[in-house]
Amino acid sequence: MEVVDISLRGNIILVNAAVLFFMLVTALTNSWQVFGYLVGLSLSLWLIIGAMKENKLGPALWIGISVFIIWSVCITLIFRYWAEFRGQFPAFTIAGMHPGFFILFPVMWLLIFIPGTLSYALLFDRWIMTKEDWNEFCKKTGKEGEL
Amino acid sequence: MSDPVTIGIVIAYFILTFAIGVYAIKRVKTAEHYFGAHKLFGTVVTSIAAFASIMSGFGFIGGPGLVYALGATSLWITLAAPLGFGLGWFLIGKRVKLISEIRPIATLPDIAAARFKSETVRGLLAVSLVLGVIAYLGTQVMAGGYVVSGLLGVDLEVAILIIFGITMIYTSIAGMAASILTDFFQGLVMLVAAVGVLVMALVMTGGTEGLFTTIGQKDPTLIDPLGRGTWMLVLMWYFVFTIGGLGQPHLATKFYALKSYKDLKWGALISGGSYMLSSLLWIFVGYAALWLVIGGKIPALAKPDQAAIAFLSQMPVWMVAVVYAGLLAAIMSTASGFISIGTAALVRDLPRSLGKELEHAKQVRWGRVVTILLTVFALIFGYFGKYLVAILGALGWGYFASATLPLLAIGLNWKRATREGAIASLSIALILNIGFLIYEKVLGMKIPYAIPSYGISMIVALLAMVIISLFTKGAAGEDLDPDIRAAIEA
Repeated sequence: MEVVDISLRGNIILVNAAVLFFMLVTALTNSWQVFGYLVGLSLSLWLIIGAMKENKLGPALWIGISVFIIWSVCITLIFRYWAEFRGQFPAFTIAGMHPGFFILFPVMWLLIFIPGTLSYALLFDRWIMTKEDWNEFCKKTGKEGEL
Repeated sequence: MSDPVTIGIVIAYFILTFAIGVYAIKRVKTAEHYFGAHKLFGTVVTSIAAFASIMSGFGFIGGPGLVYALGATSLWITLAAPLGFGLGWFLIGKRVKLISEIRPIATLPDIAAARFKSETVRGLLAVSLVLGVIAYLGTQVMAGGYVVSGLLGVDLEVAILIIFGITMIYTSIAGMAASILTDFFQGLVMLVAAVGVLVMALVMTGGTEGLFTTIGQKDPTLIDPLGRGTWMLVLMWYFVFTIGGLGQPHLATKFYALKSYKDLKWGALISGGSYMLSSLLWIFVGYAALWLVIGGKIPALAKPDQAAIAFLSQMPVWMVAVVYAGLLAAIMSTASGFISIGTAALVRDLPRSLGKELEHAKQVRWGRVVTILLTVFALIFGYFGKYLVAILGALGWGYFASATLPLLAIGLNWKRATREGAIASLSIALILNIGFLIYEKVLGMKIPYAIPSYGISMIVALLAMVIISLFTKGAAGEDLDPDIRAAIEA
């Protein structure tokens, strides 16, 4: 039988493949700024792929968008402060840290953790694997009452 | 040789680890328990074990050494990993767990064979795992040996036998169950060490203000967000160490050790949060060593890898003992996981891929024998291999990421992913990793802009999986088994 895939998740995987291809091109041409944003885009798409259901985005879209926004804002500031104070002691510090360093650690580190990792626990019972999802899985696999 | 307190704590650590490992035999009733700890543990044990197996000895020695040498460059690795745990749970956690609920899954090749209905995929993946496991274990032999030798004041050979002998015995007795249970204990030791180090480092240096100002005034590059690396290097590292994390066999195998699907809920948070805490050791030990040298409190280090040792020389004895126990925990937890994975690939998966399957009782018996043989082989290879060990040691994280990531991240999320795509991506990952190894380590050539070769291999393998799948049909769409389809659609 001809394989036909019209799932939304399948389409997002294809988009992510295109992003990966451009990542390869930008890496090999040392276009590191573009590469930096593509890293954030690809990671966001992977999160959406993992958090969504076959044809339903649900909160996965917001998880992906949040990560992409946090990444893009932080990486922009990191690039900017790095360029501004390159090779010199920065004109201002935050808790003694270079402002670009402070954005990397702890700001981006902590902020990305919220939608990227913490949200899994917060959404588990409501979206990731609801009781209904589990029952549906058992039904589809003919294991109702066994698992 | 260390002082009596350190020796006492380290010996107590060895005894406790051994006892916990042997205790795990009580849980092992089937071959699936032995090779995969199938449905044996709850959230906390499995999640801490997942973090412990990912945080290797490199985080305690190599990481701070890189900070000492390059500044913030290597932080892009350790700061990426907590998101990697989230991605792991989101992308493959639920699907691996669901498949393991309905099939007797004990190894990654079991999952791959079930998804792609192919013994070729099983065999290729098993070969990839064995190669990577031997390469990894080989690099740990000398590192572990030197640490124990310095601590206990024994010969290097005796030290290697102590650390890997203990690991081998408990892993041989109870397989993956022992590995996970000891990983849990070792993870707790690492967390205590990391928090202790953070507090001591900040007290010693006068907080972040004193720490970074002192270093930055001497060399501003060391405190900027790039350090002495290149942007291509750090950005590729961030990408590989987030998405590549879920391709690591010692993480993926933890999902089928969970008792119930409900145990998935807090896993990402516990694993990722624990890794976050332990990464503070990587960051602050490295910078504190720089602070000590710049402040003239200790002489400049001959080798960057001495950064952790130099820092510890300024710490109270009990703190040194805890950190050494944490270091041993990091080495042993990762090693035991890899020994289990390599054994399972050799005893369970390779014979199956060739159409031969041992009875379950024989699988466990042979598992014990092969655990010993594999460890002994790795010890001989690590001790005598020298140049070859250095070359193959490069086949680490990135190799596993490029070989297994496409199968898991795409295969378990895309019904259109095909058997042919899986075989192509596995083959390409193997060829590219070995090709880059020869290109860089044997021929001495360099990839431009300091791009890590495994980043290229990983992206190309992912693309191969997608592109080949678009033009082939095997084990995809309507050809999927109903239970696998249900797991993908869940």
